[in-house]
Amino acid sequence: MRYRIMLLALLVVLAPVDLRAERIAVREGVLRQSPSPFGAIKKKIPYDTAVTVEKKQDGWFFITAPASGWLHGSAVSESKQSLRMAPGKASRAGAVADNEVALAGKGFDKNVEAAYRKEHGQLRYDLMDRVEKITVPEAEVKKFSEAGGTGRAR
Amino acid sequence: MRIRTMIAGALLFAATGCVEAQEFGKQVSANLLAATGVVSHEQASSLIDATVKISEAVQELTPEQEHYIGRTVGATILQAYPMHEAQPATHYLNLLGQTLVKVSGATETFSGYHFVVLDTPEINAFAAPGGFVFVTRGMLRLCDSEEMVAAVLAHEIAHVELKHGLQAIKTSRLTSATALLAVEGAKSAGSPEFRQLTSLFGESIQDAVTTLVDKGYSRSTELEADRTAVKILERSGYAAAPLLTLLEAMERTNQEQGGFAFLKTHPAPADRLAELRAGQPDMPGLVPSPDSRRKRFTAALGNV
Repeated sequence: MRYRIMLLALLVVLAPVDLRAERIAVREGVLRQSPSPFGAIKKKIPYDTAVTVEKKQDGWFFITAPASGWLHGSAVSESKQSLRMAPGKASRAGAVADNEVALAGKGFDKNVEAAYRKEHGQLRYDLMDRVEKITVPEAEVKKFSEAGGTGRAR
Repeated sequence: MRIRTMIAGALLFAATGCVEAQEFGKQVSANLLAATGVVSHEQASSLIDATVKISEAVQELTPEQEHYIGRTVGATILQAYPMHEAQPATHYLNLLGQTLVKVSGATETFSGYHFVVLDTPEINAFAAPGGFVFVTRGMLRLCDSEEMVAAVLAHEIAHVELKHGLQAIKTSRLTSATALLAVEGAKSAGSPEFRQLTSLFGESIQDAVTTLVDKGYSRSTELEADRTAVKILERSGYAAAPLLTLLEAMERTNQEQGGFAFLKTHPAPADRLAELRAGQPDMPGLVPSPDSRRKRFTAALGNV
């Protein structure tokens, strides 16, 4: 029994550490009213925005800042530093001008792609630009799912 | 606090070191995690699996980097195969794909998932990092139901979720790239460091493309994707049986026509079937496709 209480106490100590996921890990994180794939969309939050995770439930994270709502866990990075900087650079962020921070140490990014593209003119980036525009409205996906009787993706 | 340190230590132990040490570390970590009562032993093991399977170098890649690697892998694939842009097939594939993505473990990626039809009779499918999924017309013709197409897509989505494309990149390239980022010069285009970063990028793309298109993943990687595909299919409501039907169709085509492209990069369908059946002997059997699915499948892919 005492062991259980100790474990419970340990959990309380551990909880805030475990639940501190930090950054939006996708170009636009979709904040929803409920923890479900087709939950009403409240807001879209840009890449690398710091978020405060309050609780986790079945792969969904409830955040309280910069706005409150549910994000799918895959849209949140556990990283405690900016995703726009190289590892280990976070502590120096304050010393660098804002625009430099945005450019610094992103690694394989659009600048590297542009340089690589110049050397490999035959690659079909033109088609990849079109591929990135292939999207389907969420309402249509929902309709498709319901009409096909694939009910659990509600 | 001590338990916490021990858990952290065991996790670290599980994530590094030799295979035997990893196995031992995994056991210890799973036991410790389970002992805290936060998760069951089974859940603990799967959590540890996730930390072991994805290398640290891959984990250090930001989602944006994964996206740019995926874009160039895609641009390379589209150099080799023409894109089939007819709307009904592409639109249908994206509706079906998004339905499955919604119940996968990686619902959201940097720029989302995009499903593309490749204009070739070759039977094949590829997933580039970040969610660019390519399926050939040959593969779509092999599928005679929406459920079978769902099985193809679920397998490719699994490759994205499990970051298999990134794991095909030699670790040394990623660690060298990370090391370069600490050098101030790496961020200014034209500097020797930037040129080095660009050539590491090119080599990383080559690693991924060679594995995806020529060499194929290891047998265990493919089976891992199959197992994850089963989970996605079951969660979506499509059921997993069509994956078996798909593998049977591939096996049949292979026996009738011999050595098609897919076999160059994938284990024999019969082996994959055997593994799936052994892992899940009680898998429910195939149920006929409902009318609603059959009608839209024929309308979209009937003439693909």
